[in-house]
Amino acid sequence: MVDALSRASRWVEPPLGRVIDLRPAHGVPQVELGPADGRVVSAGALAVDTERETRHRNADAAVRDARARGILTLENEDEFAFYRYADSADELRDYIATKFRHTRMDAPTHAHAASLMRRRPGARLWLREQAAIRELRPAAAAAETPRRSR
Amino acid sequence: MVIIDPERRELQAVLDRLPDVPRCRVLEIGCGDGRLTRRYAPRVGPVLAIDPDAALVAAFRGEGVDANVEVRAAAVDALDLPDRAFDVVLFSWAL
Repeated sequence: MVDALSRASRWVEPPLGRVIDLRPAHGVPQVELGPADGRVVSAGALAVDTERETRHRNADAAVRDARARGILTLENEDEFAFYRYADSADELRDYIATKFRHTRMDAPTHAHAASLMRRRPGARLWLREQAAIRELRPAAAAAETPRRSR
Repeated sequence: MVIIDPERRELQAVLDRLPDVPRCRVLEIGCGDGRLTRRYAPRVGPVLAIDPDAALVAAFRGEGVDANVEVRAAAVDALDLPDRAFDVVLFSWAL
Protein backbone atom coordinates (compact mmCIF):
# COMPACT_ATOMS: atom_id res chain seq x y z
CA MET A 1 0.00 0.00 0.00
CA VAL A 2 2.81 2.42 0.73
CA ASP A 3 4.00 1.89 -2.83
CA ALA A 4 0.60 3.03 -4.09
CA LEU A 5 0.83 6.13 -1.91
CA SER A 6 4.34 6.81 -3.16
CA ARG A 7 3.23 6.58 -6.77
CA ALA A 8 0.21 8.76 -6.04
CA SER A 9 2.49 11.42 -4.56
CA ARG A 10 4.36 11.60 -7.85
CA TRP A 11 1.20 11.77 -9.93
CA VAL A 12 -0.05 14.96 -8.33
CA GLU A 13 1.27 18.29 -9.48
CA PRO A 14 2.81 20.64 -6.92
CA PRO A 15 2.19 22.97 -5.33
CA LEU A 16 -1.53 22.32 -4.80
CA GLY A 17 -1.83 18.67 -5.82
CA ARG A 18 -2.97 16.30 -3.12
CA VAL A 19 -3.90 12.75 -2.27
CA ILE A 20 -7.27 12.05 -0.67
CA ASP A 21 -7.73 8.86 1.31
CA LEU A 22 -11.41 8.01 1.82
CA ARG A 23 -12.28 4.78 3.59
CA PRO A 24 -14.11 3.28 6.54
CA ALA A 25 -13.00 4.40 9.97
CA HIS A 26 -12.41 1.85 12.65
CA GLY A 27 -15.53 0.40 14.16
CA VAL A 28 -18.34 -1.87 13.10
CA PRO A 29 -21.22 -0.67 10.89
CA GLN A 30 -24.51 -0.47 12.77
CA VAL A 31 -28.02 -1.41 11.64
CA GLU A 32 -30.49 1.09 13.05
CA LEU A 33 -34.09 2.25 12.72
CA GLY A 34 -35.38 5.76 12.99
CA PRO A 35 -39.03 5.53 14.05
CA ALA A 36 -41.49 8.29 13.51
CA ASP A 37 -41.07 9.50 17.09
CA GLY A 38 -37.45 10.38 16.38
CA ARG A 39 -35.78 7.81 18.62
CA VAL A 40 -33.04 5.73 17.00
CA VAL A 41 -33.22 2.03 17.81
CA SER A 42 -30.34 -0.38 17.26
CA ALA A 43 -31.01 -3.66 15.50
CA GLY A 44 -27.42 -4.76 15.95
CA ALA A 45 -24.03 -4.55 14.39
CA LEU A 46 -22.80 -6.20 11.22
CA ALA A 47 -20.71 -9.32 11.58
CA VAL A 48 -17.16 -8.45 10.61
CA ASP A 49 -14.38 -10.89 9.77
CA THR A 50 -10.88 -10.25 11.03
CA GLU A 51 -9.76 -9.53 7.45
CA ARG A 52 -11.62 -6.23 7.49
CA GLU A 53 -9.84 -4.98 10.61
CA THR A 54 -6.53 -6.26 9.28
CA ARG A 55 -7.03 -4.33 6.07
CA HIS A 56 -7.78 -1.16 8.00
CA ARG A 57 -4.72 -1.59 10.18
CA ASN A 58 -2.55 -2.17 7.11
CA ALA A 59 -3.92 0.96 5.44
CA ASP A 60 -3.23 3.01 8.57
CA ALA A 61 0.28 1.60 8.70
CA ALA A 62 0.85 2.50 5.04
CA VAL A 63 -0.15 6.11 5.66
CA ARG A 64 2.06 6.28 8.75
CA ASP A 65 4.95 4.79 6.79
CA ALA A 66 4.49 7.24 3.91
CA ARG A 67 4.59 10.12 6.39
CA ALA A 68 7.57 8.74 8.27
CA ARG A 69 9.50 8.32 5.03
CA GLY A 70 8.80 11.90 4.01
CA ILE A 71 6.63 10.96 1.04
CA LEU A 72 3.44 12.63 2.20
CA THR A 73 2.33 15.00 4.92
CA LEU A 74 -1.07 14.89 6.56
CA GLU A 75 -2.92 18.17 5.98
CA ASN A 76 -6.16 17.27 7.71
CA GLU A 77 -8.40 14.38 8.60
CA ASP A 78 -12.02 14.05 9.56
CA GLU A 79 -14.72 11.49 10.17
CA PHE A 80 -18.38 11.46 9.26
CA ALA A 81 -21.33 9.12 9.54
CA PHE A 82 -22.15 7.50 6.20
CA TYR A 83 -25.72 6.25 5.80
CA ARG A 84 -27.33 3.73 3.47
CA TYR A 85 -31.12 3.47 3.64
CA ALA A 86 -33.18 0.41 2.75
CA ASP A 87 -36.88 -0.36 2.54
CA SER A 88 -36.60 -3.71 4.31
CA ALA A 89 -34.25 -5.92 6.30
CA ASP A 90 -34.08 -8.28 3.34
CA GLU A 91 -33.02 -5.49 1.01
CA LEU A 92 -30.31 -4.30 3.39
CA ARG A 93 -29.02 -7.82 3.99
CA ASP A 94 -28.83 -8.51 0.25
CA TYR A 95 -27.13 -5.20 -0.43
CA ILE A 96 -24.46 -5.91 2.17
CA ALA A 97 -23.94 -9.39 0.78
CA THR A 98 -23.35 -7.91 -2.65
CA LYS A 99 -21.33 -4.81 -1.85
CA PHE A 100 -19.29 -5.59 1.26
CA ARG A 101 -16.27 -7.81 1.71
CA HIS A 102 -15.56 -9.61 4.97
CA THR A 103 -18.76 -8.16 6.40
CA ARG A 104 -22.32 -9.47 6.59
CA MET A 105 -25.66 -9.00 8.27
CA ASP A 106 -26.09 -12.12 10.35
CA ALA A 107 -29.40 -13.89 10.93
CA PRO A 108 -30.10 -12.51 14.45
CA THR A 109 -29.51 -8.91 13.35
CA HIS A 110 -31.63 -9.44 10.24
CA ALA A 111 -34.45 -10.95 12.30
CA HIS A 112 -34.24 -8.15 14.87
CA ALA A 113 -34.34 -5.49 12.15
CA ALA A 114 -37.32 -7.17 10.45
CA SER A 115 -39.15 -7.44 13.76
CA LEU A 116 -38.52 -3.80 14.61
CA MET A 117 -39.75 -2.77 11.17
CA ARG A 118 -42.99 -4.74 11.66
CA ARG A 119 -43.60 -3.18 15.06
CA ARG A 120 -42.83 0.37 13.95
CA PRO A 121 -44.83 1.35 10.88
CA GLY A 122 -43.20 4.25 9.11
CA ALA A 123 -39.79 3.51 10.57
CA ARG A 124 -36.75 4.02 8.39
CA LEU A 125 -34.05 1.37 8.28
CA TRP A 126 -30.44 2.25 7.68
CA LEU A 127 -26.86 1.13 7.91
CA ARG A 128 -24.59 3.61 9.64
CA GLU A 129 -20.89 3.34 8.93
CA GLN A 130 -18.25 5.71 10.23
CA ALA A 131 -16.04 6.97 7.40
CA ALA A 132 -12.70 8.71 7.51
CA ILE A 133 -11.17 11.11 5.02
CA ARG A 134 -7.58 12.32 4.97
CA GLU A 135 -5.94 14.96 2.83
CA LEU A 136 -2.27 14.31 2.17
CA ARG A 137 0.23 16.28 0.16
CA PRO A 138 3.63 15.45 -1.23
CA ALA A 139 6.01 16.42 1.51
CA ALA A 140 8.18 18.70 -0.64
CA ALA A 141 5.20 20.65 -1.96
CA ALA A 142 3.68 21.00 1.49
CA ALA A 143 6.90 22.55 2.78
CA GLU A 144 6.89 25.16 0.03
CA THR A 145 3.33 26.46 0.00
CA PRO A 146 0.39 27.05 2.31
CA ARG A 147 -2.62 24.78 1.95
CA ARG A 148 -5.51 26.04 -0.15
CA SER A 149 -8.84 24.34 -0.58
CA ARG A 150 -11.95 25.56 -2.24
CA MET B 1 -33.53 0.28 -3.82
CA VAL B 2 -30.86 1.17 -1.29
CA ILE B 3 -30.32 4.92 -1.09
CA ILE B 4 -26.75 5.89 -0.35
CA ASP B 5 -25.66 9.05 1.43
CA PRO B 6 -28.63 11.30 0.61
CA GLU B 7 -27.14 13.71 3.15
CA ARG B 8 -24.21 14.14 0.71
CA ARG B 9 -21.67 13.96 3.51
CA GLU B 10 -19.28 11.85 1.50
CA LEU B 11 -19.55 14.10 -1.54
CA GLN B 12 -19.06 17.23 0.50
CA ALA B 13 -16.06 15.76 2.30
CA VAL B 14 -14.41 15.14 -1.08
CA LEU B 15 -15.40 18.50 -2.60
CA ASP B 16 -14.07 20.32 0.46
CA ARG B 17 -10.64 18.86 -0.20
CA LEU B 18 -10.28 19.58 -3.88
CA PRO B 19 -7.58 22.11 -4.67
CA ASP B 20 -8.54 25.54 -5.91
CA VAL B 21 -7.49 25.02 -9.50
CA PRO B 22 -9.50 25.35 -12.72
CA ARG B 23 -10.59 22.07 -14.30
CA CYS B 24 -9.20 19.98 -11.48
CA ARG B 25 -7.71 16.75 -12.87
CA VAL B 26 -8.66 13.70 -10.83
CA LEU B 27 -7.35 10.16 -10.72
CA GLU B 28 -9.81 8.01 -8.78
CA ILE B 29 -8.51 4.68 -7.57
CA GLY B 30 -11.23 2.18 -6.73
CA CYS B 31 -14.11 3.76 -8.64
CA GLY B 32 -16.20 0.59 -8.55
CA ASP B 33 -19.47 1.08 -10.38
CA GLY B 34 -18.99 4.86 -10.44
CA ARG B 35 -21.32 5.70 -7.59
CA LEU B 36 -19.08 8.44 -6.17
CA THR B 37 -17.52 9.41 -9.50
CA ARG B 38 -20.90 10.43 -10.88
CA ARG B 39 -21.47 12.70 -7.92
CA TYR B 40 -18.29 14.78 -8.12
CA ALA B 41 -17.50 14.56 -11.86
CA PRO B 42 -19.69 17.55 -12.83
CA ARG B 43 -17.62 19.72 -10.48
CA VAL B 44 -14.15 18.89 -11.86
CA GLY B 45 -12.16 18.62 -15.06
CA PRO B 46 -10.93 15.39 -16.60
CA VAL B 47 -11.27 12.26 -14.48
CA LEU B 48 -9.45 8.96 -14.91
CA ALA B 49 -11.37 6.39 -12.87
CA ILE B 50 -9.85 2.95 -12.38
CA ASP B 51 -10.86 -0.23 -10.66
CA PRO B 52 -9.31 -3.69 -10.85
CA ASP B 53 -12.74 -5.35 -10.97
CA ALA B 54 -13.68 -5.59 -14.66
CA ALA B 55 -17.30 -6.42 -13.85
CA LEU B 56 -17.71 -3.23 -11.83
CA VAL B 57 -16.07 -1.20 -14.57
CA ALA B 58 -18.44 -2.76 -17.09
CA ALA B 59 -21.37 -1.84 -14.84
CA PHE B 60 -20.04 1.72 -14.63
CA ARG B 61 -19.80 1.96 -18.42
CA GLY B 62 -23.20 0.32 -18.84
CA GLU B 63 -24.92 3.08 -16.93
CA GLY B 64 -23.25 5.79 -18.96
CA VAL B 65 -20.11 7.78 -18.35
CA ASP B 66 -19.82 11.55 -18.21
CA ALA B 67 -17.92 13.11 -21.10
CA ASN B 68 -15.06 14.20 -18.84
CA VAL B 69 -14.60 10.73 -17.34
CA GLU B 70 -12.42 7.94 -18.65
CA VAL B 71 -12.92 4.54 -17.01
CA ARG B 72 -10.34 1.78 -17.06
CA ALA B 73 -10.22 -1.72 -15.60
CA ALA B 74 -6.81 -1.57 -13.99
CA ALA B 75 -5.00 -1.96 -10.70
CA VAL B 76 -3.00 0.92 -9.32
CA ASP B 77 0.29 -0.97 -9.55
CA ALA B 78 -0.31 -1.56 -13.27
CA LEU B 79 -0.80 2.12 -14.10
CA ASP B 80 1.82 3.79 -16.22
CA LEU B 81 1.15 7.49 -15.88
CA PRO B 82 3.38 10.53 -16.16
CA ASP B 83 4.40 12.39 -13.04
CA ARG B 84 2.39 15.49 -12.10
CA ALA B 85 -0.49 14.56 -14.39
CA PHE B 86 -3.24 15.17 -11.80
CA ASP B 87 -4.33 17.65 -9.20
CA VAL B 88 -5.91 14.98 -7.02
CA VAL B 89 -5.44 11.28 -6.53
CA LEU B 90 -8.50 9.96 -4.71
CA PHE B 91 -8.32 6.58 -3.03
CA SER B 92 -12.02 5.84 -3.06
CA TRP B 93 -12.67 3.33 -0.28
CA ALA B 94 -9.67 1.57 -1.79
CA LEU B 95 -6.59 1.86 0.40
